Amino acid sequence: MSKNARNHTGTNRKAAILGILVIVFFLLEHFLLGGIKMTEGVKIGLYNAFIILAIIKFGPKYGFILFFLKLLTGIVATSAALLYPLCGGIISVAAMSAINSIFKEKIGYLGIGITGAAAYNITVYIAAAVSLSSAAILYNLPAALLLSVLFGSVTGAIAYLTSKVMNLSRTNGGKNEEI
Amino acid sequence: MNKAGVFIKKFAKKKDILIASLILISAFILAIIFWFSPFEGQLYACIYIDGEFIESIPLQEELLQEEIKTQYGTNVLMILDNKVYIKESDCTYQQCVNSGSISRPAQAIVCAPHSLVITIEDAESVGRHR
Ligand SMILES: [Zn+2]
Repeated sequence: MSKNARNHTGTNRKAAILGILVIVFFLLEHFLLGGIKMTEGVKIGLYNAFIILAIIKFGPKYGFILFFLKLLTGIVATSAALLYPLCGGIISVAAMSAINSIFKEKIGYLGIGITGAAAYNITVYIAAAVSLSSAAILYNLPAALLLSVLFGSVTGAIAYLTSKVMNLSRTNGGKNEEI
Repeated sequence: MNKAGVFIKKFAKKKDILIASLILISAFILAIIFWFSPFEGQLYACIYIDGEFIESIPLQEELLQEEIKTQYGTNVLMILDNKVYIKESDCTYQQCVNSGSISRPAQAIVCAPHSLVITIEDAESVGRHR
């Protein structure tokens, strides 16, 4: 096996572990914390920690794959509404990927976590306002943004700690570059 | 460098603090616009179904059991002490019932499964629907 092929296998194995973590944490949050009612349905989104890691370590492609894994889990396990999470998730992963590739090592887990949470919530609020054609839905957006900073910090911190535990380095799998 | 130093260096860099600050500032500005702008005069509860204006009810009116029927289901509206509630609903998630009361201009209760939106509006805004 060539060195490249071996590195590729390592990436896929670690990405698969992140995928499992996405599913586990999504379900844990849904069934353990699902009863807690937040402002207009804003959730912590713990699973996003592993999407953040996938984007930083393996690139945007893996971020989108993990997001669709979460979406599928949501459809199968919780029969939740699809349209808003779909819009929110795609914009969120795109925003996190963009900010990660623009700022590179100048940005840490905190900024990417907060960007992802804010992008998700802003998109969901705008999607709801458009589909119900009512600007009044934006009334709770300030509270949602505040919670985005809080919850984004939590997911960012989990992403950072997981990177230590899994011994992942920044940049593509295999190349053992420190951040 | 000690552990806390490494943590700060890798977790929260200058740009991270910048992003957090930008979002907090926008939340603050939006909150002032949405939550604390002064209002005066008569307020109305406005009912929209599928994005279309249906009717307006003055907040002074006391309604305890006003049924709103749409092709998707039924919601029961209540107006008490200038506050608007959805008391009951046969929708899936009951978010409309759980969202409590609204009483300030631009506030809304949404029942997404029934495509129903209740907003609070002033006389000028209600006039535009006529
Ligand atoms: Zn409802």
